[in-house]
Amino acid sequence: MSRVLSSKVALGGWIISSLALAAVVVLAWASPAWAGTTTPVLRLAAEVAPHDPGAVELLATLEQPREPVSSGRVSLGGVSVSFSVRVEEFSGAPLLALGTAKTDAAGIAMLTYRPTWTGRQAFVATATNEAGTSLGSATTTFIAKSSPQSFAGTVEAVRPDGAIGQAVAGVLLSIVALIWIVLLAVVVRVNLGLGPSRAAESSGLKS
Amino acid sequence: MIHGEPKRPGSACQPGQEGATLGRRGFLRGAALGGLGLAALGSLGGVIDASPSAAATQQPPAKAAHQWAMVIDLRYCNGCKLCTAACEAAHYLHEDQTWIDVFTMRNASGESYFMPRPCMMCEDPPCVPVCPVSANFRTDEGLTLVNQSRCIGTRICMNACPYQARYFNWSSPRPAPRQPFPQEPAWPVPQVEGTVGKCVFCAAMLPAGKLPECISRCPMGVLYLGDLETDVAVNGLGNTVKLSQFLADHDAVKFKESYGTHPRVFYILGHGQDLDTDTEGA
Amino acid sequence: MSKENPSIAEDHACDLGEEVTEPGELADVRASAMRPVLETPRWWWPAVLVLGAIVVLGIVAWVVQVADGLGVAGYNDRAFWSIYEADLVAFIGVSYGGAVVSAILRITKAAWRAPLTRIAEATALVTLPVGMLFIVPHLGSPWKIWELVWPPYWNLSSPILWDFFAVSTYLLATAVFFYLPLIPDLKIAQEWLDPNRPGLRSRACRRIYKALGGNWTGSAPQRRLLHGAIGLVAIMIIPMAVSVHSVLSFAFASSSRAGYLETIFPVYFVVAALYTGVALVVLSIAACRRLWHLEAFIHSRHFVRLGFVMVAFGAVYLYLTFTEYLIDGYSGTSGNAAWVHQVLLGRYWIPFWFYFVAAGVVPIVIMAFRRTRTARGAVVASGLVVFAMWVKRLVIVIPPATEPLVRSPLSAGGVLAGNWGTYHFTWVPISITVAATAAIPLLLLVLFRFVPILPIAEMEELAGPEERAESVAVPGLSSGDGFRPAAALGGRSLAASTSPPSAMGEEGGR
Repeated sequence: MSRVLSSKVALGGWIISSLALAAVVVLAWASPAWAGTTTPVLRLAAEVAPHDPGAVELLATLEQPREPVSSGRVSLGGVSVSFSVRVEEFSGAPLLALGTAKTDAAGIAMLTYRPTWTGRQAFVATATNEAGTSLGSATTTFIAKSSPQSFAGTVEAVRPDGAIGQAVAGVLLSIVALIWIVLLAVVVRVNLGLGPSRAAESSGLKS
Repeated sequence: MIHGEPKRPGSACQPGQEGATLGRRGFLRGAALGGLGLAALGSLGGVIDASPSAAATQQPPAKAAHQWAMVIDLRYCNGCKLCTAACEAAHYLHEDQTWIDVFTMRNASGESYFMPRPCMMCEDPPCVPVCPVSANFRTDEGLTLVNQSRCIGTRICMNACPYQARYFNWSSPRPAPRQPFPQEPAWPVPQVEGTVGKCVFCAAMLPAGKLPECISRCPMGVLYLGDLETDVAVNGLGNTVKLSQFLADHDAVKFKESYGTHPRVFYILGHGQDLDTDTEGA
Repeated sequence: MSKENPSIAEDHACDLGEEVTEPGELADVRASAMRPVLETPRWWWPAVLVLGAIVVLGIVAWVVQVADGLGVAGYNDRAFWSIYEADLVAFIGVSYGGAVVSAILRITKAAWRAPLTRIAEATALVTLPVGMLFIVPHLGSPWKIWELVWPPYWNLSSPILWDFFAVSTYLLATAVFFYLPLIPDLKIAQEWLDPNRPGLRSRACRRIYKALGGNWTGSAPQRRLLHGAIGLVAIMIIPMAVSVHSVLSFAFASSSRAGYLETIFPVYFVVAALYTGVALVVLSIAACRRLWHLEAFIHSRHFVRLGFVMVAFGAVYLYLTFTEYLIDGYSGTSGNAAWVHQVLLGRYWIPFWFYFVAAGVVPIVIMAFRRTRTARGAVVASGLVVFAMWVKRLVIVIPPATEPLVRSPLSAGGVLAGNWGTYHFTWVPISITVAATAAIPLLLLVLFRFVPILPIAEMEELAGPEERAESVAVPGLSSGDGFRPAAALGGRSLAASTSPPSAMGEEGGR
C-alpha cells in the first residue's frame, strides 16, 4: 500500500519539476533584460593600497552593459556602491559593512580599508542607483598579510606593582617553612637532649 | 560519593595546566630555598617568577586568534529572559542558576529597564587569584573558566566576584544527555555537584563560529558576541558591526568600571539608563 | 607575679578581697593531677556516651550533606557563606585562649597562672582541630580536600590556602606547646602509675608516658634545655596566633563586598578570638574544677583575673565594632550604607543587638561590680561571650554574603534590582555545630584520662621557694617562669622527690 503511494508521489514530483525547468529555460531565452545584459556590470578588485601597505584598496568598477541598449549609453556616475566583508569566523559568514562610495563619471568607486584580521578577506560590493534599484553585486577575495593589533591585552598594565605581592607571598612562605623547621627542631632537640646518653652524662657530671 | 581522581582538564584549559606546572617548579624551588631558612630573600626570584597566581593572571605572550567580548545593547532589551532560558537549557542548569541573569533596574524617573548580566570575562578577574587550588583560569582568548574537576567548593570566588555572576551546584546537577563536546571547562555540561559554575560564553561553540546560546536566541538582537582581535561583533539577528566603532559611537560603558576588573562586556545605555558604577565598601 | 614571692598564697589576688586558700600540699598536687587518670568517676561513662552520641549525630548530618549536597545545609547562591564559615572562625577563635593566654602569662611571669596552664593548653589543643575540621563541611567537594596539600595545585595568592598554612602551622605549635611542659609531668605520672595496673588504658598510658616522657631526670642541662624550648615556643606562638586569625579574616576582606572589605578585619578577628578564647578557658577551668575537685588549686581569683583579661578584650572588641560601623555608615557609599542599615536596623538587627547586649555590655557589667565579680559571675559572663560571639560571627559572615551586587544605581538599598539573599538554618549545620561543641568536652574528658590535669612540675616549682633557691645556680632560668622541676639536682634526687608521698598515691607502688 505504502509502496504504491510513494511511487505515485515520485512520478508526480518528476512531472512537476520537469515542467518548472522548461518554463525557466523559455523565460530566460525570451527576456534579455531579465538576463541582466542591459544593466551595467559591476566588477570588484582588491589591491594593496599604494601608499599604505597595511590597507586594501577596494575598486568597484561599473561597466557598460554588454548588449547596447536603445537609449544609448547608461550613465555610470553617481551610483552608490556599498562595500562589505564577510566575517567568516562566525557561522553564516555575516557581512560587515565597511562603507559606501559613489562612482565617478567613469563608473569607479573606491574605498580604502584596513583589514582587522590576517588571511582571507571576502569582499562584497553592491551597487544601488538613485532610484534604489540594485545594479548587481560583485565579490572578490584578498589575502591580508598583516593586520594591525586591533586589541592589546591590558592585563600587564593593570597591576604594575604585582611583583610586590608576589614577593610578599615568597617571603611569607619562607617564614612558614622556617616556623615548621624551628618547631620540629625544638621537639627533636629536646628529645635528643633527654636521651639516655645525655642524661647519664649530665648526671655523671653532677655527681 | 567518593569521586576518583579528577580527570585531566580538557584541551581548553591548557593555559591553566601550563601555569600549574610552572607553579610547581617555582614552588619547589621556593620551598627548597625557604627550607634553608636564611635564604628567605634569596628565594624570592624563584617564587615570584613562576608562582601559579602569576601564571594564571598574566596574558600569555603568544597572540591568540580571538579575544572574545560581548556587547549588550540595553536600548532594545525587553526583559523577556529568553537568554536565561536558552542558557539554562543548553547547559542543563537548575532554574536558579541564572548564568546570564536579567535584572530589572529603575531609572531616575522611576521607569524600569532591563539589564542582562553574563560573566564579565574580566581582564583582571578577581575570582582567579583567590582560588586555593587554581581551579579558575583565564584562557589566552580572554575567557575566564572554571576547572570543575579541580574545584573543591570553597566558594571564595563567589565572594570575590563583584558581579554576582558565579553559581554553585548545591545539589546534584540536572542530568544531561550526550553532549556534542567533551565535558571540560569550555563546556561544563553536565555540571559537577559541589563546584562553582558560571557563564562560559559557550566557549566550546566559538571555534565553530557558533554564537553563544543566549545571543543566538535573543529576539531583540540585544546581545552581540564580539571579537576584540578582529574588531567585529555579531548579534543573533545577523547584524554585524565594527566593534570599536560601535562602542565609540554609542558611548559604551563597562559595569562597575571603578573596580579595576576591566570587564570585556560592554553596555550600550539608552536614554535615562544608568549602571551601578560606584565603588562598594572602600 | 613577683619573683621573690611566687607562691600562690601571696599572690596579688588578695587585693581583690577574694578568699585566700592555702596552697595544696605537693602531694595533693600530684594526687589531684593524677586522679582523672587513675580513677573513673561515676559520671564519666555516661558523659562520654552522651557527648559521643551528639558527635555521632553530627557525623550523620555531615554524611547526609555529602549525599545530598550543600543545599541541605540551607545554602544558596545568594547566601554562599554562612554558618560553617562562622563556625570555622568561632571555633578556631576559642582555641586561642588556651595557647595565647598561657603563653602571655608565661612570658610575663604571672605566677598565678600555674594551675591553669595545663587545662588551658589542653583546651586549645582539642579545640583547634575541631575548628579546623569545619573546613570539611564548608567545602562543596570534601572528597577533593587532598588538593589543599598537593603543592602543584597551590595558588599562593589565595587567602584560603594561607588560612590552611596558618592554621596547620598553628596546630603544630599548639601541640608542641602542650607537649613540652608535659614532659616532666609524664615522668612523674609514669612513676605514679602502677606498672602492674591492668587494663588497656593503663597499658596505653604507660606506653605514652614512656614514649613521650623521654628520659627526663630533671638534671640542670635538661631543665635548661626544656626551659629554653618552652620560652622559645611561647614567644613564637603569640605572633603565630595573631597571624592565624589575620589570615582567616583575609578570606573575607579580600573581596569587594561592603562589610567584608574592611581593613579593620585582621585586628578585629584577632581580638574576637582572644576574647572568646579567654571565655572558653574560664568555662573549661570551671568545668574541670567542679568535675575533678580542683578547688584547692583553682580559686575564685583565677576566674576573676581571667574575667578581667576577658572583658579587657571585650571592651576593645566593642570599640572596634563601633569604629567599623561608624566609619562605614559615615562614608555612606551605597553598598556600605545598605549593609550598615541592614545590620543595625534591618533584617539582621536581632542578632547584632543580641551580641551588643550579651557580649558587649553584660560581661563588662558583671566584672565591674564587686557583687557579681565572682567565679560564678565570670562563668556566666564567659558563657554569654562564647555564645553571643558565635552569633556575632554569623552577623559578620552572613550579611555581606547575602548582599545584592547588581542593583539600580538609584536605589541605595537595592530595592528593585537586588533583593537581599536569605540563609535558611536547617538541622544539618546546627547538628554539626552542636556536635563540634560537644566534641570539645568529649576530647577533654578523654585527654585527661591520659595526662595529668595539673602541670605538676610547674606548680611544685612555683610553690616551693626553697627548692627554687637550690636551682638558682642554673643559668638561663629566671625564677618564677616556665618549668622548673621541684626535684632539682641531678638524676638521683628525682626518685626521692617524685615518689608518691601519700598512701593514696602509693596504691600502685613502683
